[in-house]
Amino acid sequence: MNAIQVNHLRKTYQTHVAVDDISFTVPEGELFAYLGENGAGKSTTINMLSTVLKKTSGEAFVFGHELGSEDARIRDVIGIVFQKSVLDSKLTVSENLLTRGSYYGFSKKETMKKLEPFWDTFLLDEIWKQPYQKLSGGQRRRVDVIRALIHHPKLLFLDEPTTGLDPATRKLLWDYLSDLRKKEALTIFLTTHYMEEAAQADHVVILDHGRVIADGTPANLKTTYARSKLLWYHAPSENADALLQDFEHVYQTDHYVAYFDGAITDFLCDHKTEIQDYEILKGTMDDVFLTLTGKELENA
Amino acid sequence: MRKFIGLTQRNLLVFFKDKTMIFFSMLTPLIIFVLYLLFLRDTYVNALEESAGILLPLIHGSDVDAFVNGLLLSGIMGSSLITIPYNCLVTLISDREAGIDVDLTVTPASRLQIILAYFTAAAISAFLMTSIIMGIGLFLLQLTASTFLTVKAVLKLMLLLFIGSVSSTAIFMLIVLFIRTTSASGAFLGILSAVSGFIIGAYIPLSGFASAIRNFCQMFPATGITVLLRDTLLSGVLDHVNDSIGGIDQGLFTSGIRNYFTFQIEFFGNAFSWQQTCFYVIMITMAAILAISLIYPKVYQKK
Repeated sequence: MNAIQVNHLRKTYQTHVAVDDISFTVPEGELFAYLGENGAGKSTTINMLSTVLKKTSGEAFVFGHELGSEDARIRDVIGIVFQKSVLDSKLTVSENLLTRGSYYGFSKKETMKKLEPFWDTFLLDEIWKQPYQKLSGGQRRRVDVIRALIHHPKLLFLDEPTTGLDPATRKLLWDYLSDLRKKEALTIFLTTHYMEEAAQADHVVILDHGRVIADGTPANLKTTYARSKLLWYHAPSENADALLQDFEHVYQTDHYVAYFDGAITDFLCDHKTEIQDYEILKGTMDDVFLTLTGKELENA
Repeated sequence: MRKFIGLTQRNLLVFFKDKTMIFFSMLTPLIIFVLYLLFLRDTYVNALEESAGILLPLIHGSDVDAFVNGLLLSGIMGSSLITIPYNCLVTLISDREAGIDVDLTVTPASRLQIILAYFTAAAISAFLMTSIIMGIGLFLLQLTASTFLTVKAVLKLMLLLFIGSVSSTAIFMLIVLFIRTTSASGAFLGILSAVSGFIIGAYIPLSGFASAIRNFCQMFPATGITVLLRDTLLSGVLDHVNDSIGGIDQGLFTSGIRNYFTFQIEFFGNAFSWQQTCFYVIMITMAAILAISLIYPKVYQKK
């Protein structure tokens, strides 16, 4: 079953087109990365799919429930970690989580039961009675994720969840979410500025000015849109330049960097006597993004 | 139902955990108390003594104290019933400003439950806080002089606090629709604090205003509630004063005091009874609740 099915979805504000005729599918259990620079329409898409915003046209289904006519059912199966925290700063972690549990119809006892899986992994015990505003950035994010998962949703929206987090907390969150995907087939809809996170996705869609400009697995996208690099450790010389003349190349510090669109191995086989000290770097998601949008995502 | 209770509980927690908010809710009552200590008490006493004239020796000093202190309490309660319900609704404004309302609207709780939870929490907070203030006020009043309050009168006071809390909350729910930020809300509270004391007749008796202004002030439900609170709080004392005078003036002194300090709502010369005033306030409240139920779902609708 598809977790999300989007067909020709569009959102406009008077003359401004925020999301322009987008279509994509997210199968259940997939880690789906939705990339784009600021203002590309990522949050607008999340807000439409999570029933916060009204679509202008097109159709979308979340676990088979139609957006617009079955919003209440959609809200039952989704959880969201917002870019900016939306918990109550003056309330304690326990007050925040217990009241949020009640929004899904759970009693205090039922909420506590739902929280059991988070207790050890997220070190909930040490922050349980602390006001949310007194927590560190990493602790807050942990609570935000627990809040989004409190009702054990089937689909989790993560809107730049790890921006500004320390590596340890990022790892903790991703390890936990990966585990959850394996155990409960949780579908994750991720927007992020970290390419190493996007590279872990099963499926990536890149958005630019409200339109989908690329759609595929990270491997496919890298093959299609990112050139591999050959790092040849060699002193600069005319012979070396002549060898690389058919390829775009530059000399950096102690090595040549040559960019290859196609198979690099044929070239290396042909010149194995000349090229001995080298590295091959496959294109990255950063390169994909740069090729498609002309900007690096982390700076976008 | 659990969702609604949870939402209401959250709104109550957010309000009662914010000590600044509670302090600002109490600001107008505190201002009235300070003004009372500075000069209002003397003004009230002078007005009472001048009206009494040759009857003054017949009136006990403790009754004068009970009367002016009761007037103070009615003013404090009247202003509390304006500023506290308003402040209780600031949660709604700050939630919209901080985007917390989105976290509520993505849950299975319906828009109507979310709106009603804001309303209920604000009305409960206002009723709780005004009841506490009333309790403390009555205790202090009883310590200084006899209040001549019956159990029935105390129950009536509680009923008035309840109606007043619900009424002000309903009306302010409509006003906060137009207030987008907490700073704008603070500015409005400042104006409200300054104006409310005049409108309910806490600073100056309403009889001191021109009739057009008096009629205008009495249109506000909060003024109606304050007048009823004044009447309920002080009727016992005035009856006792009347008994002390012994009918020499045929009740003219106490009826003059009742008119001077406005113990009864009067629109264009038509006096409203206790029940009629309550009915008027309840009708305005019902109209406001109807408007809320029609307007708010549109505000929280998807855009």
